Amino acid sequence: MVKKQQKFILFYINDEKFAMPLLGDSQFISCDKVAILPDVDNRITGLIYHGGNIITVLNTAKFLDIKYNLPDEHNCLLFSFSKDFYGLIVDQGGETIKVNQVFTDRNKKQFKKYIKINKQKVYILETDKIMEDLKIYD
Amino acid sequence: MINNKYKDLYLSTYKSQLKKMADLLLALEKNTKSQNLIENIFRLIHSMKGAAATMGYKKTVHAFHAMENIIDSAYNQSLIIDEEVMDILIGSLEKFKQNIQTIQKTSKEINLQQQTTIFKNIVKKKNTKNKDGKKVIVKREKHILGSLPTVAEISVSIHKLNVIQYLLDDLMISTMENKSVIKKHGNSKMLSNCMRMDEVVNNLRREFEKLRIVPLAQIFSSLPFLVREIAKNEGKEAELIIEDNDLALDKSILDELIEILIQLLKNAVAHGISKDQKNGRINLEARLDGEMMKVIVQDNGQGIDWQKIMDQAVKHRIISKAKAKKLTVKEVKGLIFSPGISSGKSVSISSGRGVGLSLVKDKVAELKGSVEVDSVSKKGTSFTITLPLPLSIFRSIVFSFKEHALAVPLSIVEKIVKLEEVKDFKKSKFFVDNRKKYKLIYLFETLAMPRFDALYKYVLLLKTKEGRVALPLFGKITEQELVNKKMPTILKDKDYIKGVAVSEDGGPVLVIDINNII
Repeated sequence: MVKKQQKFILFYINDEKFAMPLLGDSQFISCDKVAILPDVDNRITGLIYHGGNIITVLNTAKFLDIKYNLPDEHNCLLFSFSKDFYGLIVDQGGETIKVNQVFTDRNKKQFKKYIKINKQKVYILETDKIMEDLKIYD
Repeated sequence: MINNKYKDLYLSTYKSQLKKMADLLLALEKNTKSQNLIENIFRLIHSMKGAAATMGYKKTVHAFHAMENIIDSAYNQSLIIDEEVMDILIGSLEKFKQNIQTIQKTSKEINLQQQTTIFKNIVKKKNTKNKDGKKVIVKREKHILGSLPTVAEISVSIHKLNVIQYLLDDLMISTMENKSVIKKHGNSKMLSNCMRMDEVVNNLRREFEKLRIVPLAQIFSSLPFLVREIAKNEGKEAELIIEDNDLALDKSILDELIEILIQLLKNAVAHGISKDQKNGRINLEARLDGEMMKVIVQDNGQGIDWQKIMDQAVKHRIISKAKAKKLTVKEVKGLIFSPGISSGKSVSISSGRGVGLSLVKDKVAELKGSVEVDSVSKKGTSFTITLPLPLSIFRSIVFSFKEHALAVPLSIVEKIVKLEEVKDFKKSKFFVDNRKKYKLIYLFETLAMPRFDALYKYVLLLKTKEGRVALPLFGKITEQELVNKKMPTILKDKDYIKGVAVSEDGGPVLVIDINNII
């Protein structure tokens, strides 16, 4: 049986490598002039304008529950969900890869799924899970 | 072999042609002897038949061919368009609609054999006499295949229009940014060139916007047919009278609006108009009211029994019996939009489950509008939808409130007062300017921000639904042209935010809805 290959886009935050499922509109953009929003989930950094669209910028580190000092200038991994655009704050963009298998780490509480690159575990940030956490549904 | 490459184009053309067909058939129903209408219907069917043949949809071709024969016979006076023929022609539209939906989903056409046979049987009857037994003489106005002036049209997907619009927005924002820099550092020649460029870009954007704007008439045209069908299913008689005042609206908003109107029309026919009513009439009117658009659906039916609505609300535990006795008229009217409440006596195919009006309220709220109901027993019911007109480019007062970039549209700003010396307004509830009293409002609570003692430099005097208000500001303020953008989902529950726009420096700005803050 032929296994279906899955595509991921890699990115780095705090020198750690992560993966996100590759979507048609995934791309890295520079992220400046962030408009801060009042009274929203603290994982939402704000809004930026890019390519004709308003992008909701998400604080990736807070989703991953890691300590992170937000630099003045940062990059975003852009993706769309239910007709809106979102950007995950990242330190650096990486390459896109194809994998045959996705594993599950049962010891982790969230973002349990991972892929293996050179025998190293790279955890996956699933957009559906992020949106579910923010109570945004398709 | 059906060419999938052209399927989208075929479907969009088929849809608009079907809509046009519904218009023409409804017009023909009122004037069955109009040669001009018969000619136009023939042309339309002929064109739809040709397109179906190109795509290889044989069953559709046969059905259109048989339909074309009816119209051809009518043109040649060998067939009279009577009530039965009209019912068959109008009834076939539903079948063709099903066909289009199936092609869209599966690329396969439905079985249209039964419909084709019905068309063929009509022609076989060759009914050339009217009810009085007299032969109908139809005056020929034009030859059926004579040439009518035609306008070349192309179909462009909304996605492609969006891509161009985003590029134009970028161009516009860059031009605004340049203008702002040149104003500060450039010379008059550069500024004059920049102003010229700004004008061209603005004109380009406005002309482009017109492409997205669709006349209400185009979308409303299918509604008389819908009302006719609902009334027929309910065993009632109802006529829809439309007054669109030549208004037009962005296609994406119209698509949402049409769903709301369908629900209200279903309600009007199912619950408003009674079975024994001979003059069942529904008026649909759209008109401008300042910066808002009002859409009114009014029937001349039996009216709403408000006591019954209250009883249902108590039964469904929406309110307690004690509270029901203390409700104001406005609160009673509001109950009709609660889930589970129905203005009808029974559940029918069209409505009556008490879901429709709550959905109407939700959908109107999504469009940042409001809906109100008025009803008089035995005289009728009217629903009034008030929608803000989407302004894509508008002048605003942009100001900072701590770390937030906010704006209010210039259209609601009466005056900007620059205070001679900073004030804290600690003990004031009102601001007085030229003997006019303005109620002071603050943004701290709205923005969920701890209140602090600010020293205010400016006061914006604003016109609102509730009267005059004054908004004191402590940060920098500027007048800017903003480009309106789609509001992100995360802000949709914040009713004090009217929208998100992009400022001259390319950053997003939150446009405040003062009416909802008050």
